[in-house]
Parts: sequence; C-alpha cells; structure tokens
Amino acid sequence: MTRLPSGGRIDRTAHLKVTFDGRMLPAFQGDTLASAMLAEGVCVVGRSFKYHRPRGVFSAGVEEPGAMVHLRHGDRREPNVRATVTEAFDGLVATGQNAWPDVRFDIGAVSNVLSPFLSAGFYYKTFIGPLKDSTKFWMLCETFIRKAAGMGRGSYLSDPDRYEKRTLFCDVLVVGGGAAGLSAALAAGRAGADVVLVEQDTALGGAILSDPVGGASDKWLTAVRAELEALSNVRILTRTTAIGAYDGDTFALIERVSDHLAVPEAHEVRQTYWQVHAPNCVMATGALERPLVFGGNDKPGVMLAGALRTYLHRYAVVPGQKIILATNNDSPYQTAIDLAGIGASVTVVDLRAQVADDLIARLQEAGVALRLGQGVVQATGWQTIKAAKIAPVDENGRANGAPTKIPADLIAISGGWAPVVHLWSQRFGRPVYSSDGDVFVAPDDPNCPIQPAGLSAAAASIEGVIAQGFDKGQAAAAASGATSPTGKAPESFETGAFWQANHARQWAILTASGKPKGKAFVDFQHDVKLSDIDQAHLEGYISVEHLKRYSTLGMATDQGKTSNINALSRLADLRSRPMAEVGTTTFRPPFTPVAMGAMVGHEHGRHFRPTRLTPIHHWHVEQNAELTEAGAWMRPWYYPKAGEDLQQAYIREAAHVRTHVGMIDVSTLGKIAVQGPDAAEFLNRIYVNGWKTLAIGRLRYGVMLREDGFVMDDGATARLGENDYFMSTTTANAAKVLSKMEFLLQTAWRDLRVHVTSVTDQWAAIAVAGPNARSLLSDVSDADLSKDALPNNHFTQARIDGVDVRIHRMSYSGELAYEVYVPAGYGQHVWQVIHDAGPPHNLLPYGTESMGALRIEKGHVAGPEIEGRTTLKDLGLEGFASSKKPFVGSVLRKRPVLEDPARPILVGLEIEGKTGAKPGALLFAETGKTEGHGEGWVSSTTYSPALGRYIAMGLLKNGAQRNGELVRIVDFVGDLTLTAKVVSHHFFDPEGVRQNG
Amino acid sequence: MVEIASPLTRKAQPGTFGAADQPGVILGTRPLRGLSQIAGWSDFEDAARPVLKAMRLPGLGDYRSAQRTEKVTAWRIAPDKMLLEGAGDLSGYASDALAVLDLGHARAVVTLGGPDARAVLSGAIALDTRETAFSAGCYLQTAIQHVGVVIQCIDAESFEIFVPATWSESIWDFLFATALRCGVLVKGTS
Repeated sequence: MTRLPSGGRIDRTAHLKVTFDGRMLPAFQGDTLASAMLAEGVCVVGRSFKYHRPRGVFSAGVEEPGAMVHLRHGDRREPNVRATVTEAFDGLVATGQNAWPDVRFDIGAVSNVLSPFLSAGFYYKTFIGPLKDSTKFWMLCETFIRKAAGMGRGSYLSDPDRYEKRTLFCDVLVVGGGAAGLSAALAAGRAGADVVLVEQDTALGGAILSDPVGGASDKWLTAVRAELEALSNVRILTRTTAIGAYDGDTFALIERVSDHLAVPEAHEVRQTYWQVHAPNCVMATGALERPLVFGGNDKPGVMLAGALRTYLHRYAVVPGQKIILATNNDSPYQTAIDLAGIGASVTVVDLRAQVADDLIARLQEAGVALRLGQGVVQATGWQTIKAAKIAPVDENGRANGAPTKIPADLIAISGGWAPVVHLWSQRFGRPVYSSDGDVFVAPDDPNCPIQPAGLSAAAASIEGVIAQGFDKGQAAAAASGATSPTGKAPESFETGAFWQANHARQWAILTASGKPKGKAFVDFQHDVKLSDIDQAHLEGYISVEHLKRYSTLGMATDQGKTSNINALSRLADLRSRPMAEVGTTTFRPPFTPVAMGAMVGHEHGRHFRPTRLTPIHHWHVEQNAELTEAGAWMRPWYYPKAGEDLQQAYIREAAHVRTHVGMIDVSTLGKIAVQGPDAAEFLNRIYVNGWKTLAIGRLRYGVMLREDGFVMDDGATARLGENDYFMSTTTANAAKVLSKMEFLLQTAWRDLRVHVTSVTDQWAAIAVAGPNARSLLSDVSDADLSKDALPNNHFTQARIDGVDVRIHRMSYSGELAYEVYVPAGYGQHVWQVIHDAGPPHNLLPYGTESMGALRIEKGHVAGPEIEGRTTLKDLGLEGFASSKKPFVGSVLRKRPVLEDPARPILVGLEIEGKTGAKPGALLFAETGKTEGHGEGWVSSTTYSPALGRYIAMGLLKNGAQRNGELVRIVDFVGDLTLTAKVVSHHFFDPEGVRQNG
Repeated sequence: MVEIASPLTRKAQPGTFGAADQPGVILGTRPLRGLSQIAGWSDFEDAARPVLKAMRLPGLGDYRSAQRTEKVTAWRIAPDKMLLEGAGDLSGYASDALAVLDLGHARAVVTLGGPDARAVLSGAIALDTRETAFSAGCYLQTAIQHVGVVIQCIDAESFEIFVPATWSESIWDFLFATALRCGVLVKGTS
C-alpha cells in the first residue's frame, strides 16, 4: 500500500468500489482512477500503441499519454479514457485496452522485438512503393496492422445517455481556475462584467490543489473562491474543458455533467456542449511539464515530477519508496523535500552543474541526496522500475563519465514546463518562441481578444501569476464596458514548487556517442523514439509539419502534449537551427478528446432533423396508414387493408380512383403567396409561359427554369385577386423556389413591387380525384362544380360545413379532379366531412404510392424527371415556353449542347413480362453490347392498373424517333434485364377526356 | 362555427415530466388570435399608416421590440413587413401599396415559462437569451432546428414562440427534450 494514513484532498469516509481488470481498488471520494491504481500498487495500466510496451501512470492530468483504459462496459463502454482525469465513483469498472489477454501479459508485446523494423515511415516504405498493385496489398496488410496496433475499441451499441448543446453569452470568459484564472475572474467580477469561469478539474485551484493541504495557498484559494461564489455575475463551471476557440469570439466547452457517476441521474444529461460567445477571454490555462528523454523513460514507474507532487498532496499516495527525481530546473525540489518528510528515500539527479545554495541546504536538511551535473541515462526493469543508471553529463546532456546504478522504484522527471497556448493558437496561428525559458508563448498583443495570463504566459513567479491574472481580468472587463472599482489584487502566497525556475536546456540524456541508451521515447502514446526523429531528419523530413506526419509524432489522443516541445528541440539540434526558426506545428481543436454524443446533443434519432406534419396527419395515423418520408414531411404512403402489402394496396387504390373516387392529402405542396402590383410581371419572368393574361378566378400550369436552362420546378398558380396570386410548387422544391424568388426580388429585380410569402402552413390541401369527384364535392359544398361553371384550370370559392374553402379544378392523376384548399386549422374537419360523405360515391383515401402510379399513367413529370439535368425539350414541355418574353433560363436553355437532338428525351416504356423496372436502371438497344452508361435511364416506374402491365417513364437518346422500338432495361444493381417497347409517355387518356370532362 | 384545431392539441396534455420536484419549465400553448402580414415597398410607412392608426399603433416599430396595445401585438419583421396578431381582418386595407396576407392558421404558439425557461431557450437557439439582452417586450426572429420562429419575451420567465404550424409538433418535442433535465410541467391550452 502506498496510501498515506492521513492527508490529501480525499474524503476517507466515502469508500468507493473501483475495479481495474477485475482487481478491486479501494478508493475514496476525491480519487481519480489513476490515484486509486497507484495507491493499490498497480504498475502496468496500458500497452503502447505500436510496440505494446507496458505503460503506467505518467501524469496526473489531461496530458496523460499511457494510462488509458476502457471505462464502463456494455453500451456505455468508452475507449481511450485517461485514468488520470477519470474521477473515481462507486461501481467504476475499468479494463485494459490494446492488449491480449491483458495488459500485464500481452501477446502483442512481441512487436517490441520487431521494433528495429518498425521505425518511422515503416508502413509507407514497406507496403506502398515497391510492389506492383501496392494499394491492394496495403489494404490487405492494413487489416492486420489495425488489429495489432491501436488503442481502445468503441462500443457498437447505441449510446443510452443524453447529451445537450447550450449557448452561453458573457462579457469575459476565463479559462482555467488556477491562481491566474481565479485572479482574473475576481477582477472582472468585481468590475461588474458578466463572467464565466471554466475549470476542467473537479474543483477550482489548479496547481494549488497539488500543494499540501491547509497551507498558505489553501487559505488564499478559500478566500478567493468564497468571494467569487458570492458574485452573482460570475458563473463557475467546473468539470468543464474549453476545447476550442473559433472565429467570432466563439468558444466550445464540454461540461462533464454526469461522468463522475456510474450512470447519469434520471433525465440528467451526461455532458453539455457549451457554445460560448465571449468578446474577451483570459486564457489562464497553465503549463504542462516536459519529460526528460533517456533510455527506458516510458517504463511504468517513470512519471512527471509535478504528477508525483499531485499524487502525494492531493491523493495522499506515494507511488514509490526509492525515488529518483531527475530534473533540469528547480520545480521538483520542494517535492523531493516533501517526500523525504514522509520517509521516502529520495535522490535528486540534476542535469545542471550548479543550483542555488539555499536549495542545496534545504535538501540536505531534509535528508535528500543530490547529484548535480548528472542525468539518468537509462531506467532498468520491465513492468516496474528496478534501478536507474546515472552518469555525469556535459552541457549537451551527453554522458561523460561512467554510469552508476542506483536502485529505484520510481523515477520522477522534469524537463521544464510548456505554457498551454492551445486556445490562442487555434485562433491566431503559431505561437512564438521565447528563449527566456525555452518556451512557445502567444505574442504580446494588448488588443487580442484572447489574453494569456499566468503560466500560460510564462509568468516567472506566483506574485506575477496573480498580478497578471488580475490585470488581464480587469482589462477584459473594461473592454466590455465594466469599469466598477476592482480594488487590489489578492495578496500572494508562498509556494515551494513553482514553474521552471533556473531551467537548463538539456532535456535528453545520451551516451557519449550522442545516442540514447536503449529506447528513449519522445512521444509516449504513439511510440515515437528519439531515433525515429533522427531517422526522419536523415530522410529529409526537416519541416516540423512533415516530421509530424511522417513519424506520427503528436498525432494521437494526447495530441503531443508531452512530446511536441522535445521533438522540436531535437529537430532544432539536428538542423543546427534555433528553436524559433524551426517553429512549432499548429494547434487545432479539440484540446482534449470529445465524446461524439456531446457534439450531437439532442439532434439524433427523431430529433436528427425536425419533422413536418400536415394538418390531417393524425387522421392518417388513426386510419393505420403506412407513412413515408417525403423530405421533412411524413405522408400517408398507402392505406393497407388486412393482409395487403404495398404492391397490392397501391394497385387497389389507383384502380379505385380510376373507377370511383379517391381523396389524398396534398397539404405538403409548396404554397406561396405572390402579392403586389407587379406580380404578373414577376410570374412572367419566373415561369417560361405567359401570365399577364391570366384572369382572376383562373389558374395555370407553369414551369420554371434555373438560369442555366435546366428545369427547376413546376406547379399551378391561381390568380386570387388583382394583385394576389397563389403559387403551388412541388413538395420537394418549395423552399428552393421561395428562396430563389426572394433572392431575385432582393437583388436583380428590386424594381418590382412584389412580395412572396410561404403559405404552406396556412392551407391544408385535399385532392379529390375520380369519376365521382364532382358528385362527391357537390354533395358537401355549396359550389356549382358543373363543367360549364367550373371548367378545368378554374377555381371557385365555396363553403364546406361552414368552412370557407377554395376549390381548384385541376388534375394530377388524369382523372376528373379537384384540389380543395382549406385553412389549416379546419383541414382535418373538412377532410372528415368529405370522407364521411364518401360512401354513396364509393370514396377511398389513397396514398403517395398510388398517386405516383396515377401520374405515371398520365405521363406527368415529377421529381424523378425534374432532377436538375433535364430541359424543357427533354421533358416534352418545350411548347410551354413563350417566345415573346424573356424569363429565367431563356438564354442558356438555347445552348447548343442543350439543343442537341440526340439528347435523351422523355419516353414511355411498356415493359414485357410480369416484373417492373427499377428507377435508375439503364436503357440499351435491343441488341448490341451492354457497355458504359447506355442510351438513357428509367426515371419512374409503376404497375399500371389501367393498362394491366408494368410501365415506366425514362429518358432515351433520340427518343422521339424510336417509338415502337424494343429496348433493354438493365438493372446492374439488381442483376436484372427486362425488355420494353418505347411508346408515348402519355399512357392513359392522352386526349384528356377524363380530366376535362 | 367550426373550431380551429390547434396542431399542438395532442402535445399539450397536462402532466409533469422529467427531473426535479419543482418543475423548472412550464410548456403550453394558446390559440393564435389571428395573424396578418402587411407588406409594402419603399413607401411602406405611408401605406401602413391607416392600419397602424386603426390599431392605435404609433408607428412601424423596430426589429427587436414588439408593439402592444390591448388587443394587438405587432412585430416589425422586415423593413417593409409587419406581423400583427389580434388585428382582425385587414383585407380591406389591401392596395397597390400594401399587400395584406392572412396567416391566422400558419402559426402555432408554444408558451414557455418557468425559472429554467431561459436555459431551455439557450439549448434551442444560438442567440443571447440573458435578460440583459432579451427582456420583456423584446422579440427575436431566429430558428429552432432550422425552423424559422418568432420568440416573444413576455417577462423574465415567460416566452411565446410562434412556430410554423406544420413544424410545431416537432419543435414542441425538441423543446420538451431540452427541458426534461429541468423538469417540465405541461399545461393544457390556455
């Protein structure tokens, strides 16, 4: 056991059951999974990506490269979870990943033996270049490589948890709840700004939480936190990570609302994705510790010195008893003293030849051994550290003396600190190198909306951190107009472990030959060794961007948080260039991995997109209609009788309409009010045909083109009044047509006094079709629907059961037909009235499938024909085009390529046999080769009850000259070939006797 | 007289749902008191004057604040367009200079209230719903799930959302799902 009997920020009265690979890990409230593992002596937590080397807990935060596990199980199993930031909860179940049978004994570790062959660029060199047909070979190998290498496995089960997205506006966003962020929030809050303070940890405090409990820093934290919590204008979000900064002063936050629970509470979300709009941001994101690089530095038992301090003071865990603290700066010294204070054997191995006298004195007083000018050349052991080989080193980190082997079970390392500048970089590009501290920082720019503060700005003292945070918070508030007096910044406090004071540049400990002793890792997660960087450089990858991609450095879930700076340093050394010249790669969101569910929020399943329902929808549902999606709409597809399938039902319904009467809900048609004194002129320009002569009370079919001459949409427009027209569009194109018209009115045709407004929601529409349509509607309405009173393409006002309606005489089915337009709130009532009056007339409702069958029989074009590639001429609609006026598309429709007589044009196809064709099937001549894209395609197809056979519409080259010719319909997908005779697409009642009757 | 059917009748069934002993959100609906659009062109102000005068409205108004009289609420939704609820039949005012359109069946009204109402709004729209930015009397033209809506702030904890009728059930469901974690009290039609 390495849990101290007292201390830490854990609640020892709250015992939690936590398991890892079936092993019980006693834990307390306040633990992380990693601290529970360390407390129980778990050394091997995971296996590395490529070589399957054992990996332990390396850090205590989001930068963790190795301690990744599967968390939970079943449909809540989550891969690649960092044990270091996973809060322990009662019932936590974690298992190892990327290992078989388990992380302690992993067969995949054999790849470690093969590592000399698996260096940088191995895949590219081996599987892509040298072989003929390399791509196929690569695809084959990839299967095996992916099984051998990789990380965790996601669940294929549906995520049972709920997520949400929220929008948040504030004056000042403070990212980071450490000393700098707290000071910034305090200043901005006191100034009266609307402040949001975000902290990714479970509690405010940042590095203060890694200080001894009850010390000066705790008192400081308690006072500042209390004041912040009392400010109503400061909103504090803990367990919340700022993952991205975007243009428009927009930030993305992920709040882990329920991740600290076994399952979210009832109705609670698991995570919230916050989209924050903040014109001013203080980035107080701290710094991440850099590792030292030496042989075996990836082994379990090697960890960052700052992490060791966190485990000691926050979790009361001491992960070793014989501890070596290897460093190139002052920051671990206080930790060494603290460790010695609880009885550990501690040796500080410092690459620097000299350190301050007071530090030496304090170490001596605490009983800590000190080796100056020395470095750890190699860590020995496999699944645990057994010893460290230590040697004197020169100013370049090269051993220049014989190594000494010191027994050790823990090596804590500190190669300095790297400011976290990710958010700034995501918006503004590459940070700049500062030789003062050997760090990359955001350039100083007082006008930048993201202002770094504290360690993220490389502040050199705790006094500086507090003062800088406070000043930046005050400035951010002032920029948003909040200028109430802020008073003084909080007093500073003593901290023994701070930043990278007196940092030296050595970070890799090499042998005299300049090579590491054994495998020395730079990127612990992607198994990128120092030698891989050397090799990439040798092969010409001298740009940091190329190096990254060739070696996969910094590309895994940790995004190189512990590796980037060391890799850049190595590249700078190899190129003999200063760091500033080598530069760094670009930081991109997200800062830490994000659950896909959080980005989806509510917008999945039935909320993936909104659904549109007609005013008569629930009647269809009550009648057990099968529904189908038509864009966003739900429409009745067919109304099955007992035992009927789709085929039987639609044939029955279509036949019924031809012989009796049917009614169908056509409320989904686009409906647009076109109003204004120039409405007729407007329609004249929009439609290909003329509109200036349309009388009030009449309606007309119209076709509109795109500017490029292709057909865009069709529909009927009625003239309701002097300045009022009622346009209908296809269901699919309603929004597009409205948008197009509005665009033209606001840009090209600003001279026209016309308004267009969607009235699709205002009107329900009921089509009544069939020989008995007139008698039925005459029974229920007060209108004179006789042929003379209401000929085709006319409309009349009428009343049905006290409801004012408009009855349009028009036909889509080719039958005697009417469309009844009803104010939507009365839609279902009028539908019911008509339906109830139906029995004497043998009325049945019919669905979209039979509606399609009827329109194909009649030869009307619809979406499958108006699909963006067809012209008026292609569709046989050329006769509608006026030659007396210009209209949208009138010029470009005359392009030679669109006038080519060989273009496929609309034809009818009478199919032989008892099998129908599939839309999209290709047309080929009766004889000849079946190659290429054929001579045309099938657009619409149905069984025709009226003709007693399968028919189709299609577009066929030279179709006008091929009447009577046999063609083959080839469905390559369904592996089916049919024979059909080319005929007119007006299959049924071509003279229009029925619809005009 | 046939009653106008609300598209939200099936949704607005009273009950308590979701978390919390004390529901943070109250969802409901109310009948639309007629809705008309008047639209004009460059001379819109002159053309609209007779309507405004009849409705006792001082002018066209701005794009963020609704104008309200005892019976009428008016929203300036575009430089040359206004929506008026409760104005009755305005067709008599139609002219070459003024287009009048009845939209009395085209919208459904979702009422959203309670201490967490603003939180629900922040989950539904990407605009600033803080009281400092969206106070009583203000309205927003925005979109919920890409469906255009007008949201009227009645008071600190009450809002009315005017939703296109055919989308209204779906938008209700989305708001309901967003509100569940706060606890939802569904009122009937008010």
